Amino acid sequence: MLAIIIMTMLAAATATVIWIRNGAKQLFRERGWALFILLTGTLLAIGLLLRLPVPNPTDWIMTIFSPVYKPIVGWVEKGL
Amino acid sequence: MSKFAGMNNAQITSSQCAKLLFLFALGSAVLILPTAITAIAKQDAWLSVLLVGPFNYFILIVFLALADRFPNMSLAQYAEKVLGVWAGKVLTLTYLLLFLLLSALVLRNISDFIGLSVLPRTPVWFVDVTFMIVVIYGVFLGIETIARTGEILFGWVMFVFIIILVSLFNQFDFHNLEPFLYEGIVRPLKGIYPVLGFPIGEFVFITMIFPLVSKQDRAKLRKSLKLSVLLLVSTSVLLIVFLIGVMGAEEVSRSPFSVYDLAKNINIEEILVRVEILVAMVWVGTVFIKLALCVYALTVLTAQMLKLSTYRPLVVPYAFVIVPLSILAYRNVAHAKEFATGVWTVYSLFQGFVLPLLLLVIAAITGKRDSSDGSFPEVKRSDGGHTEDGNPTEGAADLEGKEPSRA
Repeated sequence: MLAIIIMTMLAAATATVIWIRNGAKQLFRERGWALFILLTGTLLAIGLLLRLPVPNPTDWIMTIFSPVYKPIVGWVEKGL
Repeated sequence: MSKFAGMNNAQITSSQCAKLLFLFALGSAVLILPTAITAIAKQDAWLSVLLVGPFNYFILIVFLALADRFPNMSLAQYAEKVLGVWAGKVLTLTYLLLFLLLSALVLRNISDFIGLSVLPRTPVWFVDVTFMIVVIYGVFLGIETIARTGEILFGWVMFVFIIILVSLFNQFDFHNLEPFLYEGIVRPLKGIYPVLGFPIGEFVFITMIFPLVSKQDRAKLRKSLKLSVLLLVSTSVLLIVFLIGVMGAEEVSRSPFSVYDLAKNINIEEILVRVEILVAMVWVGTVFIKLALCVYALTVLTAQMLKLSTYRPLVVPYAFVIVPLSILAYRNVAHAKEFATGVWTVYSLFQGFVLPLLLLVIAAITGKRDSSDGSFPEVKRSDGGHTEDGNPTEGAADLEGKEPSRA
């Protein structure tokens, strides 16, 4: 629980800095996207800390490329 | 540090670009890859690296041909020119996933190495966060700073490499390299497979660097890259020959970090011992360069895809994604082995070779060329005419009597 609180506080502090610095430079679109990415990362971290079933991109790639990589790896590992 | 460091549109020389390519390729590969190749090709592993050598340059020819057509643009920008806006954005999105995942995997490599070899009782996330803070700072300062760091590291890498080879010469046993081609050429050919994806398929990052090479220096770019590839192949071959010659193929194929274990063998009259820490230091440095380049490519691609005026606000938020992703990426050792040595080659070759080749073919068929400037605009601030990078704008420079910022 402490880890989640620390993580949230760190993300909030970073968000504040992004909000103020980019606002001062009138970089409003940059600020919006930066906060969106920060929110994604924070949710991912909290999901991991809470041991939620977070989707893993390596699994997506394995599934997409399995028709290609499995025969090649099968050939490479044959006879090892 | 140059007064231009940290600018969005900093420029580097062709020599710096070639050194970055060398360090990127050496990056995480040098410590991990020999194990994968030796497990397949056994004592002929050095031959696999030699055979794959020309492909290193062939893949760069594709990127150079794209750079000839679109000299001032990065991949995200010319993808939109060649395929149209929305198809180009979708293609860029696939590269975002590639660099995001690559950054996470490189970070995972370094935390695994430090966790297993140097700091076994330190939590993984602590190593990840500490390393990421340095990378964020490097990327925030810009490509010029990363390139200068690369120049310093390049000297150190070569120094440590020579130290290792010279110190281990007395333990080298040529019999470990025998029998030569015992099972024919098939095994060395199979040994090429992991090298193709790791690091060759990852060379696509260089499409983000080419537009930043200064115009006066671009004529030398091909020559510098050729030299870089030549040095890379000869370094890798020598390293694998020494690994097998000193440790034997069986031991190399079992060791998770074989070059680190190789350096542990150095013992000259009990005076020169425990030099493996030099390898660890150099490896941390090369991984820093690789990770910094990946994060740089990731943030610049995102900024160009979203038509933002600077990439710098995205650097810290991306670190918040990369750190948990690096912990999440591999479930266990078996999953890591299957993904890194099996899937990654196909995936990175698809993204790093097939898609750029398709772009080049489409651009050639449709005759598309564009030499317009793809650099980030200089954002003017309201506080005294300074750019977003902190450098004075032209008007402000006149007032302050300083040189105007270049871009």
